[in-house]
Amino acid sequence: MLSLWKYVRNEWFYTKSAAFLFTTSAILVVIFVLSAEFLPDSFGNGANYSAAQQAGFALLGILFGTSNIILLIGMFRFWVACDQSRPIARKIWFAVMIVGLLRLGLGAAAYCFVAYIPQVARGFSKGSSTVGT
Amino acid sequence: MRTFRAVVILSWLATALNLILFMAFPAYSRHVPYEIEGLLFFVALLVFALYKVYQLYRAGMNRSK
Repeated sequence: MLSLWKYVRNEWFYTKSAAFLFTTSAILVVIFVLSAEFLPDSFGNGANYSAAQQAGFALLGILFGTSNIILLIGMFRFWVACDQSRPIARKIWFAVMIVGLLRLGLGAAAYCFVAYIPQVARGFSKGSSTVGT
Repeated sequence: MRTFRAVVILSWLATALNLILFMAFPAYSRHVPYEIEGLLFFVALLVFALYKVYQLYRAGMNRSK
């Protein structure tokens, strides 16, 4: 986990590939968390489905776990090292991400949509692929 | 930060000491309910998690621009 934390440089967060990765993860996390909230418990229960369908659900589970890990590590790392917002906004976002852990990456997904993407997009609109530190 | 770290270390030490007392002195377990060990372990984990969150918060808020 620690090696993942230190694996990338701060500049990478401002690249298009990073923005794509985190946006995709955030969308997946929102879909999965909301579906876990609102779908009935019988949905995805192995006894009701064929082997192929069960394999599909297993793959979705792997995707869910991976996207959560990517999003949580990425957004906390961005918050710690790169976020250029005002201190009060950063404090609030930290609290949102911590409380959001109750629904895994939901807080981090909100942070991604409202704070991360606008900051990164500002760099794209300036015409450079990397901005910030 | 130093105080927080001391609390983390003390909570783990208390957990370990309680476990050692349980194993070494049967008389101890007659006076102290064994659930205490689980409770101490849970508290130590919680304090450690809070310490890591606080560490992350400090790293983020105090970084040089």
